[in-house]
Amino acid sequence: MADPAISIVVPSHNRRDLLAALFAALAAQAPGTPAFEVIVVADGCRDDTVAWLGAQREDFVHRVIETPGRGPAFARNRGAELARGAILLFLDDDVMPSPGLVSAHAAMHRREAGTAVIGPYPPWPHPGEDIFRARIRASWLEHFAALRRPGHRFGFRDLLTGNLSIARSLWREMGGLDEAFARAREDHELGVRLIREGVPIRYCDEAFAWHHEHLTSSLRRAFQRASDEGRSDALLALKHPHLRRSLPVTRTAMVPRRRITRTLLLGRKGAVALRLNPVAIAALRALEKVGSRQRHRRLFNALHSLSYHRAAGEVLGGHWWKIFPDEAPTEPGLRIDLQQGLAAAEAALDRARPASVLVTCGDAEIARLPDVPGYEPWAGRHLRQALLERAKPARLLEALDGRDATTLPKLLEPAAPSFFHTAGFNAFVHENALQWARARNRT
Amino acid sequence: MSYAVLELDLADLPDRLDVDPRHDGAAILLRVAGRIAGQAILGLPLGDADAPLRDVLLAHADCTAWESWLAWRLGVPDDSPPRGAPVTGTIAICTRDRPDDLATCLEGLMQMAGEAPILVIDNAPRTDESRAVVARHPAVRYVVEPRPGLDNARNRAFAETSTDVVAFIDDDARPDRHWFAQLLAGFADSTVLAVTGLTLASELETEAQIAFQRIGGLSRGFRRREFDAGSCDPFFAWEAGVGANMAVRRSALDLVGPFDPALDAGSASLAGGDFDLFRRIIGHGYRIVYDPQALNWHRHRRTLDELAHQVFSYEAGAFAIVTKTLLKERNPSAATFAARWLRHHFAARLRERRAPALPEREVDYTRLQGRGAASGPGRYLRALRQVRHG
Repeated sequence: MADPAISIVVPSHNRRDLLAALFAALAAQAPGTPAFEVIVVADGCRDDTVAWLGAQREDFVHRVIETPGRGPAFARNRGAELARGAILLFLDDDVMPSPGLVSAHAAMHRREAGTAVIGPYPPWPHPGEDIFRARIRASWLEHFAALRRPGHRFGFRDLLTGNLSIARSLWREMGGLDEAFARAREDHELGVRLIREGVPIRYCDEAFAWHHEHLTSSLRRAFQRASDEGRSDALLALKHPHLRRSLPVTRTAMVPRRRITRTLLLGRKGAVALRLNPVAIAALRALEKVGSRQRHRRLFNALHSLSYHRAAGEVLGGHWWKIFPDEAPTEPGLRIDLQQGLAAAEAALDRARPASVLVTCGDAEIARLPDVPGYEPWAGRHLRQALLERAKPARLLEALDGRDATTLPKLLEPAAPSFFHTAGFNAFVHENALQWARARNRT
Repeated sequence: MSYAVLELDLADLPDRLDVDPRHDGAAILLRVAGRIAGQAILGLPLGDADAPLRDVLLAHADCTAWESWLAWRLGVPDDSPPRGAPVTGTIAICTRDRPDDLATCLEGLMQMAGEAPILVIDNAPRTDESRAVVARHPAVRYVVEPRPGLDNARNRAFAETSTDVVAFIDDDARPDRHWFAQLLAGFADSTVLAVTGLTLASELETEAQIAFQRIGGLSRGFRRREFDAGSCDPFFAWEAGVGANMAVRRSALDLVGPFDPALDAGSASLAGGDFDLFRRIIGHGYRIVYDPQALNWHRHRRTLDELAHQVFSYEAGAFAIVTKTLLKERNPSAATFAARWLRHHFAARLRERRAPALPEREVDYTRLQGRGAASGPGRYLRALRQVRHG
């Protein structure tokens, strides 16, 4: 039998029912989908996943391997080693592909070889019963909304292995996932390397899937997850020193006031505090019930931070100095002048691909596009969106209109400049009141 | 004191602003290439009469208008959210003895782009005039709801229709051409149980109308927002929109319960039917989308007495809901809300009142809100009795 075009690798841990749903979704891929195989890596499964898989007879080839529960990074690597397809497609077991997903991934690779393709997998529409669930869902929706923007600048955090495809040859060249990142951030770490090597990252809206995260995430797991992330972020900071300025763990490492807290947390008190987690979770529920949302947020953040930093501290053995970040470079990598026109400025960015940019119009500074480690270099397609987000509005308008800043009437400033990109009802009420006050002062 | 109400497109402006000189200013809805972007409030006559109109407008515009204008100039597309499966909808107008307003509202609906089934619920009418107005439009259905109360009428609208969604507009409002289509487009998935839109003043002819618009009126701003339990305290769900401009999914009535007849206009509670439904939607883990592209125009109350009554009613309605939450739902968060309201909101109002350098206030908001809040619980209990005994 000829090798399939695509190998789908699914790591799974005790989730037979979700796997069954996933298999049904894969069996229902649209006609014309290239041939694919499915490799399920049963990672430390104690339910009847393996037996169930053995009994399945689908149109596609599927294979099962068992790994001893060493986490998804290890499992994905073993799955990828078995793959025969030219393209690897990683799906999580709680991700339900739409009928067009597999062919959409394949089409992106046909159009542009040597890329990493990410597809959206927003949460399945499900009522969020509590504040925590609703916030998780909102953050997922925001994540994918950002990816969809045409001027989005990809960063290492965008590389999620829940719905990712990559050429098998490229995967082998990169050495796959780093198995030291056993439970979290293994995908971010791959993202760091892909971006550093200049591998183009593409977002494919048609490679759509639903994420059944409401079945697999919970408040209790959130703190376990925070701990896994703290451990992995510390490893990430050690492995990729250039990345440190982008990681929350190194930002805290630099704050002197917190050093004492960190020392305390590493000791026995921290262990006691963690053991109180079930109590804390009950307290969170109680705070939510009485409608004390601010206290709820504060307690949640404190618990999250405790789990995160304690795990990071364990990796560093308390030697936080090991991950002190370098100073950010102050000199911009490229200066572009908008007087030459937007198209020329975009072309200049595409030629230079700088880490940071200073945008000017004549002598006036319009915006600074910063050097953020772990993000792809600035390109032409980022410029307009970045200007919209970062430029001083009045200066930008002058530059676009080609007017000389010195001759402009003072009039040309927004009525209340402090409300840019500020959502919320209070912002509207204040700005509205200011607008009315200004109009009435004039009469 | 009066302000002209205008609509201008920054991408397609006339040479000069044409305003009747009797006005003291203009409240201008700004669009950018058709899309609703923000507003500019102008005092007239303008100080610098020679400045180009676009500069004048931008100088008085809000930040959302600036953002949209710059995005359009840069050619950055709108951040349009993904659309879900299409839903079917009916437009419902709940009215009571205001035949002239109803006629204007229906005229406006007839001029809307696209076709939509329209249903008029005449709530305990005293005359036959509304029926006569509706009879002029053969395509519009007319139903009488004999039990007085806006929430009875709203529930009746669902009972009389079978579409996925019912969109409500007040009889003293008129829609923008794309109002209905925009509301329906907001139902992205089955967890979105309501979509609300932007409501602006259709006239600013009196002091009372201007005063109301100055504190925000019925508008919730020019930014699209999604409300859920993570981003919004259920007791602040009124920020999600107003009953004069909302579409509600039929399934909401099963999932979170129907409109409460012991609330809103026509009941002793005076207000809060929309807020109460929004509160339950968010409290049950579902979502509300506020989309300012779904625009309608509302004629605010013309006299200061009516404005004062409105301010009083809002607070009475809010505290009727607090009472309901405590008594019927046994939900302690209502007490937290009431305590916070006293400690923060009302205390700030009292401080404001004492401050000497105060912008003029046409009505005494502090006193009205205080009295309204105090009367809320009693009014709710009375409303409950009314519902029980008819």
